[in-house]
Amino acid sequence: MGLLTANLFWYKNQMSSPTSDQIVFEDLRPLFAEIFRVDPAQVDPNAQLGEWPSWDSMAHMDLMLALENRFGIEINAENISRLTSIPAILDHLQHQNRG
Amino acid sequence: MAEQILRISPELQIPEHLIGQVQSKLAYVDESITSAIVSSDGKQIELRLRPGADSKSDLESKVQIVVVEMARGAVQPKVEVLEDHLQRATSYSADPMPDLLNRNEVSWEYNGIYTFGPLLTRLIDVFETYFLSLASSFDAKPHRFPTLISAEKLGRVNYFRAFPHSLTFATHLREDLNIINDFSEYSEYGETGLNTPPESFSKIQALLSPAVCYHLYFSLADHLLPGGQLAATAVGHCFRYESTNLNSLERMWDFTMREIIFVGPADFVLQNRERGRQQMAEFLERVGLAYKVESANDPFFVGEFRKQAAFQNAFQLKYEIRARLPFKDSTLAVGSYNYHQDFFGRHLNISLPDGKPAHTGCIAFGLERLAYAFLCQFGLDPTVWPEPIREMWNG
Repeated sequence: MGLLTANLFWYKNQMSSPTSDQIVFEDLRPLFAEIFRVDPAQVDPNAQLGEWPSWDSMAHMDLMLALENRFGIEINAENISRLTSIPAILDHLQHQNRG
Repeated sequence: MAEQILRISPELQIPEHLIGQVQSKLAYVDESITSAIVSSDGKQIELRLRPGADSKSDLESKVQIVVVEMARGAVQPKVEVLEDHLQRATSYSADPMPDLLNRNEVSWEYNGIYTFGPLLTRLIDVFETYFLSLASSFDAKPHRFPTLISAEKLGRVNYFRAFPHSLTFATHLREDLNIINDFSEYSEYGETGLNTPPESFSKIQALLSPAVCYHLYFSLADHLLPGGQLAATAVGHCFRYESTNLNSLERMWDFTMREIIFVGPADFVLQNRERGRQQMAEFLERVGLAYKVESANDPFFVGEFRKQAAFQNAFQLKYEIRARLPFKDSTLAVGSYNYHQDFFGRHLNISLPDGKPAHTGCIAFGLERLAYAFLCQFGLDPTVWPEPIREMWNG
């Protein structure tokens, strides 16, 4: 099982859990911290594009590409403009996984 | 020695939507390149090189870097056409340039630098008359901005990262008696430019402005926005170096833009941008111009291109008015409707009364391009131009 497949397998198993959002957020916390260049503890689970000085257009596109690579998904132009908050991103990943 | 041709198979097939943008960037790869053509299937690049060009392997590797940086993982853009009147009947289909040059209505001074005679000057004034009335409908206050722009302030809005290739620097001789005397005595224009040693020139503190609206944002920096919102208008010379792409009135190094600029909350900026588009649509219908308005992106340089262009497209930040050029069956961008979100508000610390960063946007018109596209569609005889333009011409 490759790393990506393992991630997706783990991710899918968490989706039925009532606390899946929080768990998925915790999984992605280091990624958000790396892209937005903040301490992982400072990543707000409800953060939105424009709320942090470092979540600008370049960081947003870095995030979209990182999510594509990590989850083996394609994020089209419409979703690039829709996935502008961490809750929206988590929700999108859930739907991608179910699909 | 004869011109050389170098054919390169790109490591990645260049997607159709990127062919024109990759092709224009290839001009900046190496000084030996005189022209670059990407095949319509994106599988072949043909470069024409100056006689005596060497180190082709180095050149090829630089070309591959451009292709990979721009095309790898490129997001297919969502092309949104807001208006399509390209098929409108127009009365002229020849290339107006030979006539314009013969009559000395256009004179080539250097690559991308042209002087205009009375016909084009007066036609531009006609369009300006309309743009001033459009600006007053927004109660946009008039401004005058300098041709030079601060290097420090351009750096603050990341301009050097996004558009390094098109910058035009302003410099002067260093304050040194020997340098100034040597320049006075020995400077002359050689085959490729002034023979002055680079160390004679000062450090760069100013550039020639690449856009009009930046000056307004710089003037508002580090302040609370007075009144919470504003509309302004200004016309100014803009400078964008386009290397070997500077080959006609379609791409000028020194051109003029009229802008109507909005600063305030997002709704204020977006509503005015849309209102401006609708008013322009009515004007262009009266004029009878054949054009379309579609989503577009700014010409970011290679390293930033993929992400910035995808972001602009996804958030519908830029739409261009593209006028038809009947003689070559193509279109030319003559204006744009732009929304920058809170980019300038954040980078320049322009605050709204609620403490949030201001949003900005502008509608911008390239005056020479608009006049040129008009002549391409209606010819050089004012007596047969569409009536609304004739009325303003005579008025």
